[in-house]
Amino acid sequence: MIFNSLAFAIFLPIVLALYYLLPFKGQNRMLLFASLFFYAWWDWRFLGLLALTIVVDFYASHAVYRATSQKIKKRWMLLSVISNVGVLVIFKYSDFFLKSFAVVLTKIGFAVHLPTLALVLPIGISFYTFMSMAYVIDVYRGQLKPTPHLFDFSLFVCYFPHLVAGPILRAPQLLPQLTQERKIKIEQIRDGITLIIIGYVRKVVVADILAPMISEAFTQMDSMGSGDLILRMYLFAIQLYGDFAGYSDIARGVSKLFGIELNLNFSTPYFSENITEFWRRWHISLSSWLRDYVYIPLGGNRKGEFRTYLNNFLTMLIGGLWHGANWTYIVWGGLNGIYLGIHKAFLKISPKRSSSKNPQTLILPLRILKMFFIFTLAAFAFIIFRSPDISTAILYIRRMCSFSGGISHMGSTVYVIPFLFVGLVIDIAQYTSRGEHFIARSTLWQRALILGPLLAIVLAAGADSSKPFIYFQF
Amino acid sequence: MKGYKAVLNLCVQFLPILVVAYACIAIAFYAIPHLPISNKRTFHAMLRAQITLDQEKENQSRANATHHLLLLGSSVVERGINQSYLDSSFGELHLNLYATNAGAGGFFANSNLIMFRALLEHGLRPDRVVYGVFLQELNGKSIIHASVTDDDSTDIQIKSKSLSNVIRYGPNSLSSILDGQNFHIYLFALNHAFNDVHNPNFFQRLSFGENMFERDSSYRLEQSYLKDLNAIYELCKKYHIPFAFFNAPVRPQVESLADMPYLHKSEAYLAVQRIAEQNRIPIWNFDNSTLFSDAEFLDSYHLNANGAHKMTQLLADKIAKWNSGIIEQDVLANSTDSVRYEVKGSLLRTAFHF
Repeated sequence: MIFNSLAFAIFLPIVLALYYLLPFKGQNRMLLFASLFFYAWWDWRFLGLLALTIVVDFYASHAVYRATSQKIKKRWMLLSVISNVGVLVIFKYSDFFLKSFAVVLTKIGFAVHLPTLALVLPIGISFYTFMSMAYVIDVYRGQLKPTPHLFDFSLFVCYFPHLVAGPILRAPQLLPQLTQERKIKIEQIRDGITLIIIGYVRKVVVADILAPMISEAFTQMDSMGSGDLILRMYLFAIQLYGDFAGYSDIARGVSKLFGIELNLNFSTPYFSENITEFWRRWHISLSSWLRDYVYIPLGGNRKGEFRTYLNNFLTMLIGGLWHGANWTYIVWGGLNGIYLGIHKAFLKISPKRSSSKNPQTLILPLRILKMFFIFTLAAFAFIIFRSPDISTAILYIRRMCSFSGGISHMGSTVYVIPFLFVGLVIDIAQYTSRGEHFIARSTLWQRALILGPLLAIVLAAGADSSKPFIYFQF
Repeated sequence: MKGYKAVLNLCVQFLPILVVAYACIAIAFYAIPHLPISNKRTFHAMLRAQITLDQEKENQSRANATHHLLLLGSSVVERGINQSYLDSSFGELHLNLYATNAGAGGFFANSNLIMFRALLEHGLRPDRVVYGVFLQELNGKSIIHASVTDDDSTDIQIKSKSLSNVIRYGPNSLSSILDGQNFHIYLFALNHAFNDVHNPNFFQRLSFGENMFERDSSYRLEQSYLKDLNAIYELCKKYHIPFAFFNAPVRPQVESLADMPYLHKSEAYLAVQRIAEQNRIPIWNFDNSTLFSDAEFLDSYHLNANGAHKMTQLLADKIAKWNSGIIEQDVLANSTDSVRYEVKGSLLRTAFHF
């Protein structure tokens, strides 16, 4: 089930009404059932895989906790990691590795045809395996006491607002909210509704309206000039952001209606003034997951300068690979690793200015210029992310950089400007915190007058079709 | 907060927003001119039908003539034929005809079929139909073509503007207006932009888009378009409406990324010619470099105001002959093949071209 579907529009009010009317224990049972139903709507057969992940990690966490020696703890922890990574490898990466291996063998003169599994990629697999695995690692590190109830752990993994496209939540943040009785505040309902509508605006109005223009660039590249491709490079960056940040907003908003707070996953990343800041603001839950469970275990910045650069690069490569079984994601991750390395090196050689400690003191045009530069870097890397393969990405970049042809497919693009403007206003409101202040201070009808027209656009824009969220495929 | 109180609070918080949202949708329908309420998403075909119906009423009250001629086709008709000049030419030629130009940007045979069917359903009975085709008319890979999402378009209807229909079909009907390409067409249709803007400025050019001569490799003769073109003719036959084709000119010299020579040209032209020959209907060819010079074009496919003026006069003459019973069938395949082209220069040059 996807958030921008009729099925979800029926599902959510029913679940909410039942939830509000049930006692606490019944609420949790109903939430788990609703979450499994939400997942099974896509394909019920993959509930088994979800159950396997839950059962293995639940018992592994207890075994880790009870183990008396560090060695045994480590074994149980590794069992969890191997089972989770194994599931990912089998369902997500096996064909990619086999095909890549066959290509390498062919290139060195051993032409082979390796059979592929051609398995269907279970929706949300990358999100729930990472959450579940992190839980066991946290127990292993002594940062968390495992929950005694399989039911609570199941709800932690399956909780439907985050199940299929994140945010990737940590147990210390979510589990206490699930196990303790919740009191829903009026502010949570108010903020939840606001976030849901904002999320739908980002997804249905901004991202989905841009989607055909972006597809056009990859399917009709031959007839496009450089200007068209440059324009679409930026538009895809906005589309991806609208799509994923929109999902995260809806997930947070829906969760608020249940009285459960989820982490912020995007914090106006295109207002970043350097690439490191960008990665602190883009897909925050994944970035922090990679920092805590990949970068720091690799040694972080504790093993010398070279290792810091290498660890950074490897972390970004793994981050890229997390997104999908394709060389494009790996190259995209690697490119971002290079960006981060260059920024780190630049910080080292550039003289420290007093103003650099407080970027707010820089003049606004300069700050906007910096933001645009970072936006361009991110958008450029997203070409590789969006391309079906590396050769298409190279062709796109070549054509784009040939500076011939100009903007010839501008006609329809002009009219997305008002929608981009709506998206920009939302982002500025979020960046300056004015949006939150407004929502906190405004009356019911003031909010209705702002959110009503936005909902009208969402209803109209979303009436056509339900385009799935891009991050579902990860 | 628990139980019924929470449910009540949720409703209290959400209902005003929903009420405002639907109020906005209803206001949009009553405030936006010609906005049709349709049960399916081929909104702009319905829109064009609505505009044509409204326009025909206006023309009927204004015109001295009693016989109605309906022009169908894409932007080459919308832009290439000046409706008021055509009416005055009919007057000069003593023809008892007035015209409605229902040509619409991006409308190929599939969109035109939906629109024409809706017009007939709403009681419009033109006395003659002239359909303008052009080189890309049957190109299934054309990027300048307004897409029709439904394979079966037979049950697409315009609904009456009642509040219940606005609530039921409102979001769906409005959805197209939020789609950049369709909104583009909507604005053009509403403002007769192709007809009325003679010398587009920088921003208008950006809005109009620049129709480039498409690549030969970007051509696929779409059989379903051919079928729909036939279906339009069959509808005319069913209602005893005389039908004619004309072939609009393409620019003799094109600024393009096209891979020349354009090998599909004869394939496209022969397909239309065959329909005309099989059914003994007139077909008039204006794609001839001796008729139109480079200076009479705005881009690869569209005439400018001077070109449209000349084209309208040529068409009026052809219609006059047709009116007197002469069935002229020009040979489209004889159209000039000597299209000269130049590859676009730098990005800067293209930018300044606007």
